[in-house]
Amino acid sequence: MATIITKEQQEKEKMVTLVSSDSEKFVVEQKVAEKSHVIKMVMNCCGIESPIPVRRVKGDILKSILEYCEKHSKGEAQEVMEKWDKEYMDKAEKDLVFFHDLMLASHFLHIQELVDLIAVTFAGMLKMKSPEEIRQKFNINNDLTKEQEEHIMTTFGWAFQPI
Amino acid sequence: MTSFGSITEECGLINGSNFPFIPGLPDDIALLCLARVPLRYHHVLRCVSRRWKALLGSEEWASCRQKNNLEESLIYALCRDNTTGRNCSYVLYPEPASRCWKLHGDVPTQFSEKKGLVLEALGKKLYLFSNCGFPGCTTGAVYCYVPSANKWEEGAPMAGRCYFLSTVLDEKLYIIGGNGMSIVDQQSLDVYDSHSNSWSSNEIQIPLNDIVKVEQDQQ
Repeated sequence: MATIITKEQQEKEKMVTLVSSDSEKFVVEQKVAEKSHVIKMVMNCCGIESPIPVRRVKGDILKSILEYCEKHSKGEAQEVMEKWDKEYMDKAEKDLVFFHDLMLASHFLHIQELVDLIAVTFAGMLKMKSPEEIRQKFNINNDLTKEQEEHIMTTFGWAFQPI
Repeated sequence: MTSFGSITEECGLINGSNFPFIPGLPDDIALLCLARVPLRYHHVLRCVSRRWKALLGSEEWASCRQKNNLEESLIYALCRDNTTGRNCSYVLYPEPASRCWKLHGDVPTQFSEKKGLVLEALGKKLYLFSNCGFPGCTTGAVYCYVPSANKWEEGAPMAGRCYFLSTVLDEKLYIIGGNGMSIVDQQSLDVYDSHSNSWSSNEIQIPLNDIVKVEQDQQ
């Protein structure tokens, strides 16, 4: 006897449940979860029937990552995506701890596009800043003397002073 | 600017330190982020800490930039000041905001007043030599500029030869034609390998006297 699968069932079958380290559950479309190379491999080998634990990632981070994956699975125009990415990053970089966790999670989950986006945004935070401003922002201990710093500035910086 | 500081002594700091590059991030991920900072800000990054300074002069840094297609180019020019007769080099960072020639500094003392200087880029280094044929001027000396350390080093000398042509192909430097100390030199091709810092000589069977230009055929 042929099994009749309704459209609704078909849609339902494409959903997958992801569980964060703090047991928060997220039900997303398979194509959204596939943006993560790691989750895609898990789905390929274990199927999507049972929930997939994402043990290293907390709920708030996973939520944000899935928001990114969902937007990037829609195939929208490049300008729309660039604008969205910028707003997404503007929001994320306000909280440095959150931003770091987002980087770690996207790296862990192998979402290369997001890793690149975060890395570029991160690099952007370092532009136009003095060494002291960079140290303060990222809580880095200064172990160079004033003279060493001046020496580096003159030895390496001469080519890049604005006109 | 006469001194080129020694910047490589702290490379040991890159690994095995208790302080991460960026607190809260593993070093490999921090490197991915830092490598994306454009070249024009690298001197600022070098000033942040000893570990950052060592990182920016390291192979690890160069290979990360290369792997992620982040390498940027600088244009160097060699100039002779007609009033003083001294050679100096200029550099251009081809980015609109700072697109103007900056005086880089003196060339190594031995070449400071030499004529017929040739500058060739090979890998991540610049090689400087002379093809001057004036009596007493011919030299086989080769100097190498390492931008990551902002330092001139002495390279393996080439055979005495003048009025030769040079080109770079497959990360090797080729010296061809010109006048050598004997007729044999004229029919040879000297090849410099930067990895081993050594020269090798090969005979070639083409008339060399009239070579005016050497070009690469990428095929």
